Amino acid sequence: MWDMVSEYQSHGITARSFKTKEGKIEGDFDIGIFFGSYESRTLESSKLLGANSCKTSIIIFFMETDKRGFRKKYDKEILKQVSICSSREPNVVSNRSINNVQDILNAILKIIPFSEYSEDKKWFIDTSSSPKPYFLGLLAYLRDKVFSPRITMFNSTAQYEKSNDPQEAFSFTEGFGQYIWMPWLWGRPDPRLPWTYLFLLGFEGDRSLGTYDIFEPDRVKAVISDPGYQENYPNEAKARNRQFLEEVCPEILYTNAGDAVETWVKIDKFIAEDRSNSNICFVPLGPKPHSIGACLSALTDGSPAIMYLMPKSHKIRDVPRGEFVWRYEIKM
Amino acid sequence: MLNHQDDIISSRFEMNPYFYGRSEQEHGQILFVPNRIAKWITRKPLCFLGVRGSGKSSALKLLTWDVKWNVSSIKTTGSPEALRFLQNFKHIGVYYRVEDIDVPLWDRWNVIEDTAQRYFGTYIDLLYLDLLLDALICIRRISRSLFLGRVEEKEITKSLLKECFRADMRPRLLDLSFMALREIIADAHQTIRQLVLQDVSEEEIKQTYSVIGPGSLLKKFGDQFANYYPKMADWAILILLDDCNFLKKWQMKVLNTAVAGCRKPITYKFSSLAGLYPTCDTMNDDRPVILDYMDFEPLPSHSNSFATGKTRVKGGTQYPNLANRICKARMEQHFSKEHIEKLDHNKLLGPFNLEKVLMKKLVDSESDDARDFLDYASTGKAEGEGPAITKAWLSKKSVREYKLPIDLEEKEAKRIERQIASRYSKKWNHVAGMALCKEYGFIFPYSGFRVVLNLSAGSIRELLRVMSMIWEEAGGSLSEFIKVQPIPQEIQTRGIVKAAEARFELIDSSIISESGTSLQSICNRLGQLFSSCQSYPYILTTAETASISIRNEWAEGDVKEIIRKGIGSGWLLKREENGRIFVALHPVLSPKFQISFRNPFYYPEPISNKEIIKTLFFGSDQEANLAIKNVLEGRIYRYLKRHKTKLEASSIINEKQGFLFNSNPIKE
Repeated sequence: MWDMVSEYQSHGITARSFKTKEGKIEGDFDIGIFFGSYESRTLESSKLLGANSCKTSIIIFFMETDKRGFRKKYDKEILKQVSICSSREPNVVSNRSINNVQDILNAILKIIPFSEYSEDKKWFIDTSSSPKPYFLGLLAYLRDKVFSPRITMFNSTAQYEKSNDPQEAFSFTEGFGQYIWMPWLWGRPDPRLPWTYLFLLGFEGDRSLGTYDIFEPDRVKAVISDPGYQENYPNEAKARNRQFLEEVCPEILYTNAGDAVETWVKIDKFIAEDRSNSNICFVPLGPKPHSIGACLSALTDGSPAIMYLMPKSHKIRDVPRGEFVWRYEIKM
Repeated sequence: MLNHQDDIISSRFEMNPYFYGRSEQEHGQILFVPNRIAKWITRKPLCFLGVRGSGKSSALKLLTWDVKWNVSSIKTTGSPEALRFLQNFKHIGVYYRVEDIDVPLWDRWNVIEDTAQRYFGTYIDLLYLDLLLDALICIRRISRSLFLGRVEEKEITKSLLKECFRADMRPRLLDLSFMALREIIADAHQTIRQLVLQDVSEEEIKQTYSVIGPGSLLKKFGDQFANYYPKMADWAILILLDDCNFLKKWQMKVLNTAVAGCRKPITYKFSSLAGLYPTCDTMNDDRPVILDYMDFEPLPSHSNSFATGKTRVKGGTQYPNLANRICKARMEQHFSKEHIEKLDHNKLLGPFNLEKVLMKKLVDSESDDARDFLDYASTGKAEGEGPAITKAWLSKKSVREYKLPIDLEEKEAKRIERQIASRYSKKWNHVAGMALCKEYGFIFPYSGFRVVLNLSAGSIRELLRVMSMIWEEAGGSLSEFIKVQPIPQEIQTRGIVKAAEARFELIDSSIISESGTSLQSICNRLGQLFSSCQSYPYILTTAETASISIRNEWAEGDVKEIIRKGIGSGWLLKREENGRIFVALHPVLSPKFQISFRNPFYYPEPISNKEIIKTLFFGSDQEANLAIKNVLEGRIYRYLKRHKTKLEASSIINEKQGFLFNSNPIKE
């Protein structure tokens, strides 16, 4: 039911990507991490996991709720579903703001029993509705602090137009907040070298141009999804980043929006030369699988950094799942 | 499985030589060496101040060792004297740009400020020692000037190791070489950064690294250099730090302490956005401020109107020459010399003749009012006669009329007339042009190289952005661009206005107050206010108002923060003087609001009430409109007060406001 799409190995990290339309997620996990959201695609992972398949489960419910009642509805459902796929009562992290990234990550790591940090433990992380710093931070932590973890990352693709005003369909955030390094992904910049920024572009062109304008990196490259989650998405992304592409004129890499492993392979090749003669900074503004691919590339030697532009707020609307769901099997 | 086709595709967009950022990425940077460089490479610490894109980073990069020894991808251009000076001057400069994303992480480090300052100072010293050792290693590969015997190198290495690490923490190096020392030093500053970002406790970091006083390690390096390279006793070691405006006050104090305590051959050269140098204080009670130890250099204009107090010094690079050279260098990177050898951007865009372009606008106009006015201006109805459009308009509106004293001798009368006319025209002609265009519904004919220079306000980056828009409007190819010289005014105006609109769209529109305002909406409000100030009847009060003036103490809290944000992102300009703050929009936005392209600080509008500024910045649109109206009424009131009695003025304001807008203006 699951088709293996890509496979890659580098610096002791092995990863394979799979996609399916309807397949179940087989196997058992020592730890399962889920995120409550106003997007219905957040329900997919716990729906596809088998009963009692996660020994310790954690659900994060951010403090920020919505007036339209999505969270109220989906929080209840995800709690029910995660209870079914957990062998113990799920642990809940709540009442903390989505912006307290380090605080919430520390809370998650504290819940996990000490014994689970040992060798060869199996981790399941749902990325579908998790903000990027959370799943990337966890991935980096596991690489740094846990011996030989086996990680399954899950991502449900999306259909953005389905429940939105067409004008707003491709706009997910409002305003520029603070720029931060992703937790444990601050890299090891060499002061002798210039910076190369690799922008992983999404639909929000103001964020790419705004970031470029602030940091004025010495060199710029960009990644665009192609194929996208939907056929029209690559052109949409190009149109929405037109000013950035015209003004900055980066070298462009195209890669599958859903395939984190393909993205990792291509990024490694794309920045091979830059790694030796510049500091690398990834700027993930696009699909989550691209950010996972960039993160894997950063974790190989630990030198690139990953930057995150915190939005002032997120636009609240339901986002249903797209045609495919993906999982990435990662061994470190 | 993966298809390993070549997925890397170069940009499909056509070549525009002025696109900012493009040249640096594709061909390596070309930096212009100004003749003033001799003033920069002195032993006295120096801080470059300027707006975004004014060439601060370029100035610092020019002073680096790799530019001097021609080993960087940066190429230089400039007068033969300047280039010769750069090559001959004896200096080793090492450059580092403040990582502004690291600054808040240092700031969040959960230790007392004193500890944070000590480790920040240690980190910076180690980082620069890393860069200096790297410079020595690299220069020795290409020049024998820095050659040292094994024994001397060992002695320097030992002495620096001793300075860096406490005895019980000192690494034992089998190979006492610069190379091995550099690796240890690089690892040390990297680890300090990692520990700080991981928010470790003071105890933990103390167990790993000991503290070095701000600048003391670099001082030690300088001493060793002077000692072991006696032939290079007259050399300077330049510590170049870019973008100090990102630093917090407590961090800047650490660096200022190093500056105040530095000695030959070490010297510091910083850069900061004008008006945002965090502080001149040091950590040292004996030398509490650095003002006496440091020079401030405005970039790039002759006298930088955005600098203040001691920082406002004469000098700076001649901007028009610099701009012309840079535009030409851009063209040279993309096109063959034969096409552009004689290209001069002054001639390409031509001069700006206000009267001529206004006349053309009126002649081309289909508006009856405009044609009537043209007749009025052409038939000598205007007092003083002559064809000058702005003079005729000012005369028709009775704005700042003047009369010559009677019974003067012809010679004296002419002298006084020239004197008055000079003051009169300088002050009022441009704003008359702006107001006239608004009255007849024209877009002001922004055109000419001087106008583009004014709009860029000393920012090469903005200049290139405007030029790139003119290039696009002119057809987007070299043949079209240089076909007619000067480029027709309409094309230039379209490009300039589009550049302003595109820049405006980039201003951060994220909501910053409950009423829904953003930096973008604040800029919009200021733009509307200044646009009104430069229209009739509000020009009766003062000409060319394009800034506001508020009391220093009102710029606190939210107001201070948003002004800082506006300056940091380059949309606002600030000037401080006599306890007041002057705030203006960056002139590149002027064409969007039909504001004069000239210096915005000529006639600041004083805001007399703290609440007005709060409302203007953070009120709802409706409240902000009322605040603007209030300011505009205040202008008229001041005008009337000057020319009428106070009572008459009040009564006019209160009872017959319509008079101001509908009937004939009040004569002086």
